[in-house]
Amino acid sequence: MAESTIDIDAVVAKFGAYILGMTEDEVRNDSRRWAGIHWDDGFFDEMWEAIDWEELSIPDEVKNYNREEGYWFWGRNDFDYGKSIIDWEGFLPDETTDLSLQSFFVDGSIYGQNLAELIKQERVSAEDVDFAMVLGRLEASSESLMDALKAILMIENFAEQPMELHEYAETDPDHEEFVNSFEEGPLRDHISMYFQEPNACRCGGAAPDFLDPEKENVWEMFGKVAFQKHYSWWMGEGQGSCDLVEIIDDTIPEVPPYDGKGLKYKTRREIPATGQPSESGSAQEILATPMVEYLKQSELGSVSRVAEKLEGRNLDAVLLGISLTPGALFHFVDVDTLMRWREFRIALSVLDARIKYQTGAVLSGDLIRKSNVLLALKCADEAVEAAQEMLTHFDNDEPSEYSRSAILNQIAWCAYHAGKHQLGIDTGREAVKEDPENEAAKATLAVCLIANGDEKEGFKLLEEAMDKGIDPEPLPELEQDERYLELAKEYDIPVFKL
Amino acid sequence: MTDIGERFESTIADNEEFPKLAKIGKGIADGLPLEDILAGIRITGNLESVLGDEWRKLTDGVDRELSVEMAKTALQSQVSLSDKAFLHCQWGVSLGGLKRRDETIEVYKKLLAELTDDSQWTKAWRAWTFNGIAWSNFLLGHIDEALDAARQANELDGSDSHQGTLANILFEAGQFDESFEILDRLMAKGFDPHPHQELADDERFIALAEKHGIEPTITERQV
Repeated sequence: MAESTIDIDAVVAKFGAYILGMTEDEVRNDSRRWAGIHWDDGFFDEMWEAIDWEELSIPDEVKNYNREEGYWFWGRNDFDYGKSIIDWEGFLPDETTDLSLQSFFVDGSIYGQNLAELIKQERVSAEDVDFAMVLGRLEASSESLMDALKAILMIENFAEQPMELHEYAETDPDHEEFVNSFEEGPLRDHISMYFQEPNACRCGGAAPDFLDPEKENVWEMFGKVAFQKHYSWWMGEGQGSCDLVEIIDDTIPEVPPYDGKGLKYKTRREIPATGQPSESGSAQEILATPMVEYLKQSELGSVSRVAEKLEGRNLDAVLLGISLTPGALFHFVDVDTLMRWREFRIALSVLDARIKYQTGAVLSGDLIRKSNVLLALKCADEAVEAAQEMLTHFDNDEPSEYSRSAILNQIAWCAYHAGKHQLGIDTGREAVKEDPENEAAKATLAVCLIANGDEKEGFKLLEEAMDKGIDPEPLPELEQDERYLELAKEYDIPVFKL
Repeated sequence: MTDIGERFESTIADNEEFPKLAKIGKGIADGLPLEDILAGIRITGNLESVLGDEWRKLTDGVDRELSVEMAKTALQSQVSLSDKAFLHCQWGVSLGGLKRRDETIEVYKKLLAELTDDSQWTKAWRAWTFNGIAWSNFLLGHIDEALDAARQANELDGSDSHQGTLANILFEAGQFDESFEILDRLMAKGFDPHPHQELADDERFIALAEKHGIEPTITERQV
């Protein structure tokens, strides 16, 4: 047990004066509203289920459970849960179908009290929340600067539970003079835990973090500035942080009443210059430009750097060489990565060069990629041909990582984009016949039927597929059809905003 | 089709043991320069890790001429030091297998000229290269040059295989005491010194082999 005679207020005022560049009197008499906000990466896994989010309470048996094991910062849970901030992607406007919440949610952050109301109204379930970040508002006796600092310092029970230095503890040399101004012993150790050297803090304690004076260092909630950071600590990169904040406006808005179900929206992503569609609808137009030119234009540094190595070389030859490298994850040849980044022109150039040297399952994978890239580049006729080539290889008993039904579905899908509705219907039917459980094929057949005027069968199949969670990704004409939007709403299938 | 293309066609095409070289052969048949194909490999990997297994099969006897041509082609462009070592090694060993030992020595000397820094890796490769020069000279009957190279290999890296080479050459040079002293030490550790036939037939060697229970592999003298 540490000495119980320390003057807690004196220690806190000294600590606050040091970190904030104020006098001790100014710290004691500050009239602004303050709080400590703590986050660590273990909270969700360790604590989420233990908290009663409807009642915003934590059972006694788990409160500060980690302190008994010598942890102080990691796993901290002495929060005011109603005022704590819950950050989760499900609280983004486009992630909910609850109409009134679509305008209530702003940036993925709500207060614990909002969550409690949503749970009570059965509009959100705590069990559905996955990997939320909880920014815990530290419990404090008041919102004074002194009390916020006391909460951060965990010093009010210092006599019973002083922090002990861990095995690898090391005071940051920049703060050694201040830490050593406390007499050697438990109090100095306790204070030292807030001024750990950045590497040492990974094993316990906290290190002062840099607040960029050029930035505002504010924290917004519901589109308004809620907190102003004045001092920050971290517990190892990505492991956790603690902020001393001035409260600007922490008014907790009321959750709007339920107003019906709306659509779920998709995010439209920008396409870089090296992913722009063909104007003529022909891959030749794209391939006429040497790939090295696209590589140079790429906004991806790792791709543009490769261009330098290709100058003066035969690109087909270089690509053949690259394709021989096992597990080459280089973005340059990893077509899936290029497609994710929408670098469709580069992806097509890579595929065009390497496909002629591929066989078997690798070839089949590259052909399906090629057909998808061609679709993205609005070269739908050639996309159909690539998919048909894949079927020819399959029917010649060449190895493939795709089933016959999946390949037929790809042909139908490309045919739909090419406006070849009858081909889409014929191959779509064959795909479904080949594998009646291929829901994606049903969706493709459905969109082809609708495009061909057979709406009755089309919408019936469409509903079956959407009921199974399939996003048919129809062309805009159908996606904006009221009947489609109704189905999308009913089955939570996202659509693009107009 | 180029000469190298024809060799690919005759040796590699449809041979399941050479999936990567077969693709290279197909590319060459389509008119792609081998140099640029190899440059492509080097963008994401190195030649030895990508082609080493298949290439060594060529060097071991499947098609040493092709191995020589590939190495020469690859060395026409900028390659890393580790690839230089790998390429010279395949080139030199292939020439050795073709009994073109004078050329082997020239190739190894080219490699020595590249291996200039003081790293342990470079030292080990210099030692390996001197070892190769020693054996080539030995097999050509150039015992003085062989002995000189073998001693340099041992100064750089006193590993068992380099000591074994030195012992073989010392025997041929008539320096029996040092030769058998080394052989005794090596065989006591269970190391097979790969004796050439004359050494293997020597009574003193036979006695040492029996003493240490070694059944030696005979190195064939091929000039």
